Amino acid sequence: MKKFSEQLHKKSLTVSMTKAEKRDLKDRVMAYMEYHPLPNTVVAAKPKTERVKSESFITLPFSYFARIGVATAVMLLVLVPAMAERAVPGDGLYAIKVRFNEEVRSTLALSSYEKIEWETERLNRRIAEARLLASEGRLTEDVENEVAAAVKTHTENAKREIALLRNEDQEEADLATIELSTTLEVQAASLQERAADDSTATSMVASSQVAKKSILATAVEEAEEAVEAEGAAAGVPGFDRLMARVEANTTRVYELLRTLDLPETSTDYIDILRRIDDINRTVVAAAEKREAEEEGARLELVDALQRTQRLIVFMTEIRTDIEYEVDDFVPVVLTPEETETKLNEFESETRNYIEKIQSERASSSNQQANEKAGWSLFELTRLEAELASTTDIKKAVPLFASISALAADTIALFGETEELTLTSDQATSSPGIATTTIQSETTE
Amino acid sequence: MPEAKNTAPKSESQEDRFLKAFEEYNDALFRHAFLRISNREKAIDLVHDTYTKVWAYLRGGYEIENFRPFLYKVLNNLIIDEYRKRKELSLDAMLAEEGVDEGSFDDLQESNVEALAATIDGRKAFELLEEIGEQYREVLIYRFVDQLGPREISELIEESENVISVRIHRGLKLLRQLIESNEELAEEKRKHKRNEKI
Repeated sequence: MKKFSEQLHKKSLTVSMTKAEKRDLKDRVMAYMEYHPLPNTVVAAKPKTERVKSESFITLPFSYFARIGVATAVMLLVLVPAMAERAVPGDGLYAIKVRFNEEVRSTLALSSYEKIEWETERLNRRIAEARLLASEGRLTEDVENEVAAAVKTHTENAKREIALLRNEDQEEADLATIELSTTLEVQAASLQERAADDSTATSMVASSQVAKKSILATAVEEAEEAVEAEGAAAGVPGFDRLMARVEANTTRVYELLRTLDLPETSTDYIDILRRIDDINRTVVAAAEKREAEEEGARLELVDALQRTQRLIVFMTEIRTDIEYEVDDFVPVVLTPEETETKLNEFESETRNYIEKIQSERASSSNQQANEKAGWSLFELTRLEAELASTTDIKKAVPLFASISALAADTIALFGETEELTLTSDQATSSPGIATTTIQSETTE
Repeated sequence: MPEAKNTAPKSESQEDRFLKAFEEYNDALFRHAFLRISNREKAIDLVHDTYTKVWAYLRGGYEIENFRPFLYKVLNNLIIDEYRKRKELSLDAMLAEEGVDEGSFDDLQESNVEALAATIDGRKAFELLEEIGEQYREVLIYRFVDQLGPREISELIEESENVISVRIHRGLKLLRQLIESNEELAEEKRKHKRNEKI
């Protein structure tokens, strides 16, 4: 057997790899080992090869230049743009913010919808900068003109993208129009309110500020009108798309609320939470309404979407300004129970007015006043009946405003206005009373 | 085969030992693979895969005491995979079908194997390895090319030593028959040529 074994083994040794094959195999295995090293491998340090210093007449410190170069690049590409983000018009770094940072970010917005969002964001940024300068008394006419021009440019850009988007996705374009229009509406309202506030000032400085601010307010208002005109021509998006966007915006509102980190007992927190509840209620109502009346349900969702957008703009752009409250932009929507209570309150107060006038009339000897009071009573009784017949808070509010004004004027005839216990803002004959606190429950 | 998790990392020595095992066994593994699958390039690939798999095993924190049987075990598994790729019928099914029994008393006697081998020309047998079935060729290569003992072979291919001995004996018998039939054929040819000359 030994002979057989030796013969066979010897013969088998003729089978072997060539040198090239062996080298190739070794290289492959080594490469694998290199790219998949053992964990905690203690690789023996390779002996350092002695460097022979070159002797030259001129020594150029390349490593020093390289370090300077890297530091400069970091400075130019990272630090300066980061610092520029806080710049406002008139600052040295403002051009970098607008022409470098924002333009770079523009290139990152790929879809039309993202571009519209970014143009809207830029528009908000410009207005926020103007607001900041105004609060510091640094808003010059030139700067305001510049901001107004920027607002116009960004609005035009957004409109152009909406037009492009409309060719691809009609509903998405409609949604974008609603959101842009709502953003401009909130910004315009805030600027107009500020201008109106300032117009009450008497000093020369304040008067000139009013004139300056009106440039921006006018620009935003014009932009809003232009976008709204397009929105009117656009259709109402589908129910599902609207629902999805409302949900996305509501999530954003929750995130913003969490970011603000407000105490749960603060007025701001409670107010914002109340608006979210109102929106959620509208969404539930729209879903229930969908089967019976799809068009109406969609309109309710449009209203909800506008409210979420207003809330977002308020929380991101306006909330820090103590002059404004969330109620200025997103009024409370009453629940059915609250509506009923409010209607009962109106009826009860109307009855009190009538009884008070009747009592005054009985005890007064002023014939002229009594005659006028008689006519007022007739009118008040008619309005009372009209108020009792309505369950719509939208109709009830102006009706009660008229009742309050008429009652206050009539009681004044007897010279006893001071004694009448009226609610704070009702004792006036000016129209539109209490419209800011009680708004339409649904969009119709 | 030791496969315990290595608690104390000995990565450096493991790496050295692995490299040593590469230098020491790569040729033998290639030879084994080539004789089993008869494809040069594929055999080199299988050797490469064997080493990378063993390296990956070491990377998992395991320690290998004896590289030789471990390398052969991995290579054997890769060869079986290769057979499975080539044949629709799996090797296991093929083996089950052929039904290798434990063999007769004669097959199991090492002295009988020796006596049988003594009657065969090893060089001729080598040339005819391809002609016999895989299950016999496998054990003969392990036994006479790689020079492993029956116990080592039984551990590698997970069969009892008896089965290994039977297969070696039968493989040798087959080789002798092939050699004899080849010789008979050659003799007939020679006779035929001689007759033609006459």
